[in-house]
Amino acid sequence: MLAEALERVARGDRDALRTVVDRTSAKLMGVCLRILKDRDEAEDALQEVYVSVWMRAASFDASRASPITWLATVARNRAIDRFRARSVRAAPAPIEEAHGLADERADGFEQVAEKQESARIHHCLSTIDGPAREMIRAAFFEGLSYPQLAARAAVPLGTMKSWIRRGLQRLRTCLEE
Amino acid sequence: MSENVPLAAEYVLRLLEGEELLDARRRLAGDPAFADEVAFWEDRFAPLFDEIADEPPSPELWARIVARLDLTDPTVVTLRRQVNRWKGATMAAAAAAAVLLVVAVRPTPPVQQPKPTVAAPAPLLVAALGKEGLAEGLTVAYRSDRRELAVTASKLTVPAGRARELWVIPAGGTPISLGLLSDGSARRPLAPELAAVFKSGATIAVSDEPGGGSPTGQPTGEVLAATGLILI
Repeated sequence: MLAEALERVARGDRDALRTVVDRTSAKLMGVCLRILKDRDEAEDALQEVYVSVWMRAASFDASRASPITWLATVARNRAIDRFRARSVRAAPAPIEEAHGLADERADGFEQVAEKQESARIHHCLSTIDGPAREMIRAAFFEGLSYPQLAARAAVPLGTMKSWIRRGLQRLRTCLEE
Repeated sequence: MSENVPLAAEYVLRLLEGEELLDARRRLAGDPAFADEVAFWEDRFAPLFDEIADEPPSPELWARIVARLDLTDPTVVTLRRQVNRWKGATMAAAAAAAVLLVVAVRPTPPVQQPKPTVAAPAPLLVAALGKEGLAEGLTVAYRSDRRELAVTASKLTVPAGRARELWVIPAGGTPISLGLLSDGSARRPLAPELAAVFKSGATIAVSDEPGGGSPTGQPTGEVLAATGLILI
């Protein structure tokens, strides 16, 4: 249904865009707020996300991705763009705090994944080293880059990259099984 | 290829910056195997989105999205109405009910291709004025990096023998004419002295004038709409 609405958005149908907004805005607002941690900024980012969706709906390929994944990815990318453009940034939250946020379960109308897909990524993440896993989660949920993760963990950049790259290779192997 | 694996995952996670990011973007554009690997990781990480709690957005969300879309759309639809008092000693009369809506828009960057960290985009000042009896849509946008003013009007209502004149008023200053309005879009570069007026605190207004515009160089007729500019 979302795929069909996005197809209509691509043809310039504003009602279809409204449908997409109504069905997905709570989820995408959650994503923006998680990264930006500021409600006003998240609201601005969310508007920009749907303007992007309006302009880029034709580039969405339903055969390659699920609509909600695409939308959530657009939102995460836009939020991270804004996060990185800030000239003054709050210090990154310590890892303990990040855990608290990450454990919330969504109560959303539009879930991204079936239970087994969800189980797979969580299982595979559990097979990699604790630090690498936490850093990968911090990258996903907080939009932190390599330099920021290295700073937070107080390790050299090269060390952080090695940890994460090893973790990603192992993750890949597990996900293929 | 296993060498694609970390780079594609790093790209999806947004771990990359600088040269590594540019390299990944080049690969995405030119290498189908890399693009497939990126799609693979986007799909596999996606269930993590379900760990993020939903958040109800502002009830104004749709209206604000429409306002942003309308700024680039010549067939502008009238936006919200507010009662506003016009404070201007040189204006003949305050508008009884002027539409005041200031919308600030930053040019939207491309989607799915994260940009390297760069300076903020060029400042943009925008005003949107639309009112029954004046126009279905009227937007004024000023880009300071190009010193260019863009005015778009649709379905202006102009009684025979009258004109609609556009003004910019510096904070605490006297109005400067920007010319007469007509349907359609027009862009013009501004001389530096005029460009200097376009900043936060300035006001954009439309007045009713005799055909051909104000004979005095200052507004003579009723203020039909007015709104402030905000710099972003």
